[in-house]
Amino acid sequence: MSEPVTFRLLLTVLAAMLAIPAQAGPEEDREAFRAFFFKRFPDVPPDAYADGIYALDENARRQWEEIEEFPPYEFAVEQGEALFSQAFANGGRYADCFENDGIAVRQNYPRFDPQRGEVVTLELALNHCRTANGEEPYAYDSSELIALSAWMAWTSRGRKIAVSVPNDPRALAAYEEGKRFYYSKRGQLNFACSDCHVTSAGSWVRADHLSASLGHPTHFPVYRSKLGKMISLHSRIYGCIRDVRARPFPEQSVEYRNLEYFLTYMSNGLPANGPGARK
Amino acid sequence: MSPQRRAVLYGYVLAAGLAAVAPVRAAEPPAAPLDPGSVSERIQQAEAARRQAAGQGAEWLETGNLIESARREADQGNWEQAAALAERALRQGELAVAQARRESDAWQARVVR
Repeated sequence: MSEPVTFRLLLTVLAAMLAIPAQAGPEEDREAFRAFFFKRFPDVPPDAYADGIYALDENARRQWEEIEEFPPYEFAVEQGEALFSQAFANGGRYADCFENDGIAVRQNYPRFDPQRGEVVTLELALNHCRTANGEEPYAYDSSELIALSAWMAWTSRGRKIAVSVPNDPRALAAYEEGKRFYYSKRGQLNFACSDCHVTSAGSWVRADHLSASLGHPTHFPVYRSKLGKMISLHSRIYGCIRDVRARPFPEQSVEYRNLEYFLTYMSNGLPANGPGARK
Repeated sequence: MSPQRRAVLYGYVLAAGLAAVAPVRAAEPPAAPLDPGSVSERIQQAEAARRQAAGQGAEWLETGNLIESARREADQGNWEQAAALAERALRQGELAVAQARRESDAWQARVVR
């Protein structure tokens, strides 16, 4: 090969390398995500991010600690335990559908299901379990399903969030879709999730502070005082999407499941501490 | 001419100018009544834009309601209100599609690295 041709080839390769942005993998994303918040809030201990906004707002944290003395989610945990232990009409049990009889597995969800080729959240897995045993699935905003989720979260308290993205292009695609959703502006207000919960985390929004996304999914489902009931993570996301004046997707839509997959992966290593209590 | 007299003169000229323009404006013909067919077409265009945005997962919150309201007004023969609602819905649908097109690349610049 002549020298000018070699030189041109080298230039072309270099140009191509510069034109294609390096695609970071999930683990590089997670490290960068954590590092961003650790640098932004150097006084906040890493595990405290599992407490959501109460990691950043000392006054709100003190109020929350008072609430935690008589946790408003206790009834849901009790209801969930009772439902979980009931056998289905065919004699099957929820415990048969999960590893370790469903105890202390919350931290591994959502997970990529290679048979289904999609992300399966804990709530979806519970409904799969019901239909596999001849039962009707619960509505995703039903108190029963949220109670079951609350009970399973309770049994995982203190375990480290450990969501995996297996070496499967479909799993990586689902993760990337969740990441794209997270960083994309949407709605009439033209906001991305990251605009509030990365760029503006800790800032005032009306009378409250914006929480950091690191730790967002560790404590769901939560009892929301302003609603007087337990809500799921997807219900909270639904509210955020509506607030930026975009048409929300339904709970357990593929969009929200992929978003949960990305968000929860970002929180890997933080303690699972659901269910929680929020304003 | 003293400054006072000049100011009075300018005032008369201005008043005369305004008086001359006012009848012309008042004499403008009333707007032609809206063609129901064009309003229906506008509603269909708005619905097409809404569907295009929804297909990209980018529909805005109130676009569908605006179209529904436009249809209701059109059904009652309130063409002006229907046209105004359809215009708003169409604008929202177009902006949502443009937003989705822009975000197909723009989101990557926000990724924490």
